Amino acid sequence: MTSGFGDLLIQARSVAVVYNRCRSFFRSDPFEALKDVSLDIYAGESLGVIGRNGVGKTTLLRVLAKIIMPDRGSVTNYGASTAMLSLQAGFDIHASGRTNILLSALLLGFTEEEIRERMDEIIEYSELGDFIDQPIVGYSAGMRARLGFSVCYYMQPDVLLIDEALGVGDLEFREKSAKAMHEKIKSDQTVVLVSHDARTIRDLCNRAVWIEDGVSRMEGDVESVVTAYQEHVRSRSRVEAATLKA
Amino acid sequence: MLNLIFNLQFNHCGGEKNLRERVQRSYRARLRISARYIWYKVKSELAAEASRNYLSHLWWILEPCLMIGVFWVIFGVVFERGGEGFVSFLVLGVTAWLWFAHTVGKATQSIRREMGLMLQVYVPKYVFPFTAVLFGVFKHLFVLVVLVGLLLLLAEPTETWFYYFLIFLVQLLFVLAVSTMLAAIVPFIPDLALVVPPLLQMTMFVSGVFYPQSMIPVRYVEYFRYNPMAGLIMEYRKVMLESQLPDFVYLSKVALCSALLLIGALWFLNKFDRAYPRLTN
Repeated sequence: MTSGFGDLLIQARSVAVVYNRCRSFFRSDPFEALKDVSLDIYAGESLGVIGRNGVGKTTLLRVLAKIIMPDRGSVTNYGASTAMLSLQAGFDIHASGRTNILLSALLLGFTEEEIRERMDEIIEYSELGDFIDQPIVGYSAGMRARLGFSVCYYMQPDVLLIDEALGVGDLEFREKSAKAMHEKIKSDQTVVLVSHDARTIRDLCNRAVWIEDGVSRMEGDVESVVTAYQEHVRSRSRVEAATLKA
Repeated sequence: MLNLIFNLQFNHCGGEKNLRERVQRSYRARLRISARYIWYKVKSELAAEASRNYLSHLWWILEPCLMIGVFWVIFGVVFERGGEGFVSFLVLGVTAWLWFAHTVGKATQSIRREMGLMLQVYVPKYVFPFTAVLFGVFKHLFVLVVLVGLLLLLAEPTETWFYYFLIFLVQLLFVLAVSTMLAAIVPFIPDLALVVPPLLQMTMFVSGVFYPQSMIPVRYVEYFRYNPMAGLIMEYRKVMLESQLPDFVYLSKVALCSALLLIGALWFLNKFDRAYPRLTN
């Protein structure tokens, strides 16, 4: 069952999610965001989920984070906490930076003691200094982003689920945060990284899954999965170009 | 399989103590985290209320005072139906009513408004109505201290005043039950959110906020008391103004029904816990 990594943490089998988009009280359109996705997550690995925009990658992360239940299939979790990297989740703009650290980290599932233990580190990392006791309504967007990132960076679950963009804040902090995140992904931290960009997955992940139209097409080492994905995208765009001409 | 789980719980975390503990986090621990979140959220909302308006907390007092003033002018002065102690009578009715109406009004949309947050992180859904209710409790207590303090100047305290707290607790349970139930249902039937405010308005007129029970024909009194708010407001007045004991049977009936409603609401929230984030519309 192992693949050169740690133990199996999460096993998803034939996961399907159907959204009912309401048209009116009596009519609704079913829309299958995921049809048949299977994947394994092992401790310590960085699993890349690659696929074009709108193939259900974000929905998949929500299922793994236990935010929504799949309609079919199963997700077996062998005891790992999971959470999406959600910057500034639960921020209250009228509260101080310090209170917002508490609010956000409590939502991520940490106890108050755990948060207070890391409070100083978080504040220092955010580079906010004395502003930390000011209501964040007076912060610039960049300052808020820094605070949000610092909370998520220090309060991480066993399995971190990341959706696309990594760097946040102003230019300087963006570099710092992206670099920190890259290091985190390459370290022992178990990560599931979702992206449509082949280079990101190649750079950061050591295993990959390719999802197309809500179906997991391929799972395996990064090189072969990403190559297959790129070939598919190229052939698709050729077909599209041909239809456009015709 | 058991062996695998055992291995995971004790080996996989790479020596980070916190993580290992969190894997085994119990139901009670999660409950405590939610409770802390509600607490800090309410604290920051109370502070926010103060910073948003110039008169901040003064508005909490001004609003019931204005309402009392209007009722006093219309029913006391114009219609001459007030009588002795009409102000104290109004204070008790209006404060109890506003507590109920404000909290229910705020809680109705509490889950629906947080759809965005629910898509980012997992949150047990009862957190949202409970936050609204706790906020309402603090606001009500603030108003009570000021206005009931005023009552103290107008009337001599009696032993039955003690029962005020009992009725307060029953009303709290009732407010919590109604708020949680509405918050749970509204995301499924958004139109309900439009019905609640006028419904509250109408309920006020049948709750005896500004008229005594003695004005109701005897044959209707029984039906009148089917509305818990009407009954509770009556009980408040009984113990505060008439030095009478409250109707314990009635209070326990209200408490029991509220408890059942609350259990129903929590069951509903639990059943659809992971369905709410999908109701984005």
